Amino acid sequence: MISQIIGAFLAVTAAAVILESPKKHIVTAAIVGAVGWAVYLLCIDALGSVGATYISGLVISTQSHIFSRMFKVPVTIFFLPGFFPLVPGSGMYLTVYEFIQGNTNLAQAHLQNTIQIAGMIALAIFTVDTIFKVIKRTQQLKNTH
Amino acid sequence: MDYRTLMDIAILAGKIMLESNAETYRVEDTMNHILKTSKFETTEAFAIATGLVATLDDPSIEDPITVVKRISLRDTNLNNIATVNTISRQLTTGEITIPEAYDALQDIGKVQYKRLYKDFAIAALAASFALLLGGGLVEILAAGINGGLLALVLKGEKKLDMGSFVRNVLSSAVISVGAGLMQAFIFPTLNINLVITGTIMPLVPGTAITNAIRDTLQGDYMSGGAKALEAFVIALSIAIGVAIGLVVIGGALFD
Repeated sequence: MISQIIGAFLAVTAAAVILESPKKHIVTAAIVGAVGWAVYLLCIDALGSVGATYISGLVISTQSHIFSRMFKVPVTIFFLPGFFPLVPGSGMYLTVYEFIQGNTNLAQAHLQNTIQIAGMIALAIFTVDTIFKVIKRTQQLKNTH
Repeated sequence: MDYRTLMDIAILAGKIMLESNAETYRVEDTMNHILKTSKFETTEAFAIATGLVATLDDPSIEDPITVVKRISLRDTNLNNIATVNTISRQLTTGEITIPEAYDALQDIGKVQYKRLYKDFAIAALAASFALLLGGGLVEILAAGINGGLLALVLKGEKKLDMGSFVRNVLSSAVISVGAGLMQAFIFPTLNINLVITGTIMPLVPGTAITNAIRDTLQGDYMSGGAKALEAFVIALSIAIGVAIGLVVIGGALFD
């Protein structure tokens, strides 16, 4: 498991370079992604890949929002590389693979799983974005009164 | 108040952000903040994935000005997004003047990392994904080599410029065949599923998915829809490429 987390750290670092991330924020982005992947691995036995993606997505988005406020940079800088490990690349591949092998049922199951994972990423981003928006609004309201 | 330069700043900032794949609401927000420093009666900024419009009007000026800018190139560049954000923040708080902001924006656009580093990052991304997905040393090595192959294909394609669909089909077909060949001739115990999954990761539309979701949830349905479609088309092209590759290695090696 440790080696997989190291893999996530390196993968997000490489992704950050490909996405032209600012140099001083690469390590932070890599930490965001590695922590997210660790959470995914911890949850996958209990919740399955779909549930684990949601929890891990929550953790990644929350970290991204916190770091973006700490360093005063747009939240995308941590979001885009951080979510890389969760993107259902293997689901996409397995769908095609089983389809070519003639296992239509398995292909369909993988396709469904891929779509569910993409949906869970969306739901996690939505949840955390909303929470932080509410926090910001309440702070603004407090300041005006 | 040099409102024409201010308009140029807003348009330039919006152009850089859209080209760097920033979220649409952030582009409009930034442009609005910049335009509002003029304290004019009417300031409008409108952005969609493929272009932007901005307007300034006030009783104090003769004619309202409107500028339209078409955006055709899009390539994610997080550093540019962060830099434009900082410049706009400094301009609105009055830390820098309008000419300074304009000069600072014009300096943006250079890439930070050399081409070679980026090619290396593609190979490293493939290798790390093999590790992340639980692969052994052989898979990591094979994915790294395959990632290098992918970087070469992308480099060669850049000269021909056949469009992103053909590029994704071609490169994912090449890496599937590459993984199959490595299993047949170099590493007989190789798990090619892991290697192919790792190597397609630099191509998969992770950025497009994340951006599509955030734009849609902000209510920017035009941009969100366009980016969701982009993600779907990329996924489809990779699937077609992998399918072609698997059929080729299946026909040549496993019969």
